Amino acid sequence: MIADITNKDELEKIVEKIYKENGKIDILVNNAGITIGEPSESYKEEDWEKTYNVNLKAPFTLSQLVAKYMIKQRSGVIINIISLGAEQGFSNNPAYVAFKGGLKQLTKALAKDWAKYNIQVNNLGPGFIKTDMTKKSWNDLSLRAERSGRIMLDRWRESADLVGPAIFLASDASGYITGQDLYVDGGWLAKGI
Amino acid sequence: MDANILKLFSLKDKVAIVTGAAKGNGRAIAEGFLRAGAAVYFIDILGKELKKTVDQREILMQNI
Repeated sequence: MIADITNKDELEKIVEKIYKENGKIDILVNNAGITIGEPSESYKEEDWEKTYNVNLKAPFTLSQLVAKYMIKQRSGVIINIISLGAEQGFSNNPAYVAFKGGLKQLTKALAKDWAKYNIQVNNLGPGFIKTDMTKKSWNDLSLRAERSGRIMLDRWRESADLVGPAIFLASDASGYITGQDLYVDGGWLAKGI
Repeated sequence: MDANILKLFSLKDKVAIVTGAAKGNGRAIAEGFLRAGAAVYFIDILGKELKKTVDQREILMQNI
């Protein structure tokens, strides 16, 4: 379904339609995100707001809309896709880092508020991967070397590496896990010298 | 251990929504959920890419 997730009316219609078609909604993955890189000292206000709208506001709005039904059915799983930027400072992208950090905390707030309705809310954090979003740092050899040096496992992540952990968090296998961060980062965050 | 332990990881009969599902991480997750048995709604603002992904999804569904 084509939708602009920053448009609440559109989201409302979509969620209602999905509920009507199925009589339930079990899983929401807030994955959509954007990144607009600019130096902090000259970061444009409109880009800050654009990043906020997609990366933090939309996941909250969509979670609220879906929770309406999850609360009714007394079950549900919400997975928020965060980032290494939720933990660490990265150059020239203050909005991305700030709102991924915000999303990480939003997960804990929602996990707390909706646990009584048997809704689990967890974070899934991808490490560095070759996607359109990170193509620039992959193509630049010095940026690539800088990133590879931070990873324990000897390769960059592929999209497929996220699938098992996502299924785990979405399935009954993780029924007692909520408010957690699961990083699929090849050891990036845990690596010392 | 019971062979049915793998059922714990099944998404059969579950209904899932994935945003940003036209490509990359979102697409991989959405297709993974499909393979695990869920009904998956692919949401994206990128209409053209989404159409391509969903067309391929039908092929993927036939292969399951």
